[in-house]
Amino acid sequence: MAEVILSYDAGTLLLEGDVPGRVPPQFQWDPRVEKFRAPAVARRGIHRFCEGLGIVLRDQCSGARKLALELRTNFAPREYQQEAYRAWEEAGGCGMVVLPTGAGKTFIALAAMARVKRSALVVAPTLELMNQWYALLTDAFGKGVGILGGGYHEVRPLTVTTYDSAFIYAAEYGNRFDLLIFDEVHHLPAPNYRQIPQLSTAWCRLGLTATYERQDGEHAVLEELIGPVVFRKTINDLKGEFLADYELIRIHTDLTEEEAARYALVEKDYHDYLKATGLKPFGGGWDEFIRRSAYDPDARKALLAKQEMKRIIIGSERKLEVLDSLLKQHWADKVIIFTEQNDLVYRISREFLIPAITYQTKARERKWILDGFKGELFHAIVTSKVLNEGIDVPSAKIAVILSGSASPREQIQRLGRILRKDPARRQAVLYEVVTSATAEVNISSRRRIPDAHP
Amino acid sequence: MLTLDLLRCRVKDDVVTPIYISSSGRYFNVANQVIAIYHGCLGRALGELERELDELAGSAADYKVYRGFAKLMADAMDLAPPAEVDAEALRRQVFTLAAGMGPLARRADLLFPDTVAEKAPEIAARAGVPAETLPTALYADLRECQVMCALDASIGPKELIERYNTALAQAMLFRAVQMVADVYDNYRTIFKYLKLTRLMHVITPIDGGYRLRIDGPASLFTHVERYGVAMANLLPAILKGTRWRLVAKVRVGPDEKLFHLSRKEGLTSHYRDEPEFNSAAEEALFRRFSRKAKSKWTIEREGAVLSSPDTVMIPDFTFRHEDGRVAHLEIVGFWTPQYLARKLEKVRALDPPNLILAVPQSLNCANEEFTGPVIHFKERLLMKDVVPMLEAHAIRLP
Repeated sequence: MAEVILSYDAGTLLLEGDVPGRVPPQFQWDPRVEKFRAPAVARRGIHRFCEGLGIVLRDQCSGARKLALELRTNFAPREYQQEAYRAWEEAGGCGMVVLPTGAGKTFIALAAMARVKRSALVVAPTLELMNQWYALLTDAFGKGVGILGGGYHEVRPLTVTTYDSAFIYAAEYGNRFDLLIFDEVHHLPAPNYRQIPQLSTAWCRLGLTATYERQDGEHAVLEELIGPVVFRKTINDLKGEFLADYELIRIHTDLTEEEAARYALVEKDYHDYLKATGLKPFGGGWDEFIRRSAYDPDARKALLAKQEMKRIIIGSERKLEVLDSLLKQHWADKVIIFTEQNDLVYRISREFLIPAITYQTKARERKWILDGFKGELFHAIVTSKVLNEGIDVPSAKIAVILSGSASPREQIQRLGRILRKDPARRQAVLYEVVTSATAEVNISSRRRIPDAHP
Repeated sequence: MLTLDLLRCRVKDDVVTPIYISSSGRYFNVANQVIAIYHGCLGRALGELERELDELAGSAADYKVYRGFAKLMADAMDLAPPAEVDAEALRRQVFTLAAGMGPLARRADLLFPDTVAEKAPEIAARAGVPAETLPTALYADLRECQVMCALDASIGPKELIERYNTALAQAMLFRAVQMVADVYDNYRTIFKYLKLTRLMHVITPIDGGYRLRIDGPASLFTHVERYGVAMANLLPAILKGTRWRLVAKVRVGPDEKLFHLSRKEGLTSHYRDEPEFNSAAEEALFRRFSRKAKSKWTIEREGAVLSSPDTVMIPDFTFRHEDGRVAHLEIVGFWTPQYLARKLEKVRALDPPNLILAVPQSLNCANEEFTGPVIHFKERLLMKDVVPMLEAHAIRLP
């Protein structure tokens, strides 16, 4: 009987051997090599087509391996986690699961890996999350886990990577994994990132996210490349049942005289420019402002002024005083301090002598810090925005956000860490310390600074 | 190379052009200043270098040129960690010690009398570092604390500007989805880098040269930018030629624009020159043939590309007769059996009737391994052996 061979070529599939009269519709004639070529993502569809016509297909495209994977960790999954996993399995191992941050999406990923038992790649949006997955997989399966990204280039049957690295190496390693897991899969529709699943032969695909909808409506692409949403629960579905309540306390601080004087100076540069040009510093006006700053010296000066305004607000002295009093107040609790600015993270680390985690922190030290925090060694750690998304932070009761602005989505994701259900944890508190540049707000808000020792 | 955010370009209608800079204009001075800052920061921390560069650029609207110069200088420097402090080990020690001292406050009060400032000297002493260096030593492994330990001192302002202009054209290609290059010489280098960069090409002969349509495997389905970096890496190989031009389709925002480049922009290549000849036999034949002014045959080194969808071969010599007939000569060198096997496989795959192989007798291979016309030679490949074979096997190109 005629035999058709399917082989892999840099993110695409080639049809070789005795090519049938009816070529699967996924293929296109490639005059450059005089062969039929299809994108690697079409592998499943090609199999289905050939089965339907009784064509014997010898699939040589995958370089993935069979793995003996047993979950070592004793998980007691929640019912909705089980349900989510089963829904994915029933969908043929292709689909997306939408659960709020902190609801334990990682369990579903581990269950999928243990079920498929073949080479798997986990793709995460940040180095921080990649490091977290590395620790998680190492613990869960007791196997050597490869890392691609953040200075590591070590590909193993189980590998963790970032969207950026996975994009760069999409063609090179596109046939090495039979299961792709995309953490925070709402990042995937970006034109470059979508090539990761496009150029992959992976038979099974799992997407995880808390925020499925994108404003640009590009999530339709996800269904095509990963599969449909197979399970979805919102924060309201789970609240009360599995997630603890939290209290949000917003603390306003003001600038010192020196800071305020400097602020007023640069603010004038910034506002003078806006007034002179009539630009509005938001939406399209902001884009125009950034564009002009690339060739107009006045716009460039105004942009630098705006950046300094932000730096003054974020690194203000009073903010550190408030932090000092919060740390005293909660000296018996686990406290995680978040701020967007790396400079401020290191300043806090130096001035309070507490460990810091940023995008520059290597996997080994990060694990030491988080282990020390989980244990009794440290009561407080400080970290930059790299922990903004879905990071599996060990149980903390108190979070302090030192911030400028806050968008609703970021807020939810940050809160997720406090919201995580933990029997030992009662009321979680989230402090948001905001510095205001205007005097009026300061007067009314100063008495809201909590006493150091209630 | 530059990063994409440092690209400066202009769009006019369907065409996008990088903003090249002249080495005689005011940027000569800027290049000099950037180089001086780099030389001045040798042995100092990156953070200081960054501050000096920021000061130099100030609020200049063309700070991207400053930053571009700096990026190219940074590509020519080596970094080392400062002193021999193991910062990670120091942090483990310091944070563990600090945590063991109970709550350390920033400002002392009744309940929390111990402050970080008071305890720091003790912690530093126990960790074995001077108290005043503790804050810097603690994070000595951060990038901004790294020290510039070596710098390529040979780069002057003129060369920096040349490098900048080439890097600008390369950055333009980062966003390319397809490139068409017309090339008239320099084939070996171009095809070597085509292979290295794993790009795909379709080749068609044009008058006096070849047109190469260059993209990658997945370009068949969508216009993807993923091969732009490979095309940028190919560019210096193309720049080595004496006659060429290219046009690339480049994504600019939502549109595709055309980026034209040819020798007249005067870009320079930093890729090394290939050796002119691969063997003594090759060189000797070329010299002998070139001296024969009255021969009706002209000799050209690596003057043609033989190709099929699977393989490409650039014969050592191409001979053209006044009457338009052409023949190719490949000298089989003294390499490994694998090399020989690969070469023969190529010849068989291409099977051009006008390709003549020249095989040294010392190579010791059986005659039946060669299918086409073969010249066996002892030490020297002589004209009297070559010319009759040319006459016998040369063909007129369609």
